Amino acid sequence: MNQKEHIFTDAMIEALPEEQMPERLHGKIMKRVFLAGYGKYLAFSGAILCLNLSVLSFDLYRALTTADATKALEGLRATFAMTPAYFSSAISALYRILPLQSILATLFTIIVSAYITTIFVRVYRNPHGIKILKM
Amino acid sequence: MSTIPPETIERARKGDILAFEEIVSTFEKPLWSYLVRLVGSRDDAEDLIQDTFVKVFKNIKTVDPSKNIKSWIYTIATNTAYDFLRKKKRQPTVELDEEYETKPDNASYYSVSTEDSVETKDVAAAITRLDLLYRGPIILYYKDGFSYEEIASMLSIPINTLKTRLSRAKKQLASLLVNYE
Repeated sequence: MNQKEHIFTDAMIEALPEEQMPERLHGKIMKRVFLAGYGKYLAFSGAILCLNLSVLSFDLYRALTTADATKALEGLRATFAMTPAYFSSAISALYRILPLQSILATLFTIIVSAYITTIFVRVYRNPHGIKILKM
Repeated sequence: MSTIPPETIERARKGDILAFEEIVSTFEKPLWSYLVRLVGSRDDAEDLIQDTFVKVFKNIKTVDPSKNIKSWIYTIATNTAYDFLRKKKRQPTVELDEEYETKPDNASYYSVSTEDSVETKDVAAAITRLDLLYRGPIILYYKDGFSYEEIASMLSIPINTLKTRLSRAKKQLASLLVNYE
């Protein structure tokens, strides 16, 4: 190649236009990065929450299937009425049967699980990457 | 020089994923063009650019914010692409040396024009037909504007070897451009 040809080739390469990037690629990249960085933490917290929920569910099931609890629940069923007095007595009966800390712990676990799931799904579905976390 | 402020790199190093997204946004478009031209396939480039940024994210703590992050990201992209092309050729143990000159089998994305004049798409097509050994250096030097020192460091080769490869690349490119004026 002579000098003129060299310059011509250089100019042609330099003049190459940028390739058009697929529209959703940025989102795909950030999803992969998010999963690579936080996937293991999400999996770990999900596993802990599932275990917690299982233990609490078992605890509540055991409390509801004792002889006293069964008797109390049958009594509530037999005296069912759409009155404030009935609901008041039903709540106090359930409060006696079920440990308050188990109910609160179960509700807390469900809320945290729902929050984590929502964040994860929003991040995963968002085609524009993870800017949604700024919200 | 890096176009990313050192503070952003520092934030990314500390695990700030939004700062990392700024880095991705800055480099994804030129890196995309580079990878498409290097591997000659948009589908493969799509996987490679994702793999590259995952590697960058995992290793961001090792980068020096005062140094050129662009060069570091391109090194990761180049190594990722070469590893991929080696695997694709089913030659996982072969090193990229002067004897290893691979013709691309995936240059279908581009096709050379049959018209009389040389067009940019002809050049793009011809680049994907270059030996693998020459493709990276020629794009990095002429298209992405890296210096000899930066490319030699990226490819772990001496500067003189790089200059030889660039010279051969241009000769090969000229011969591939069948309608070259």
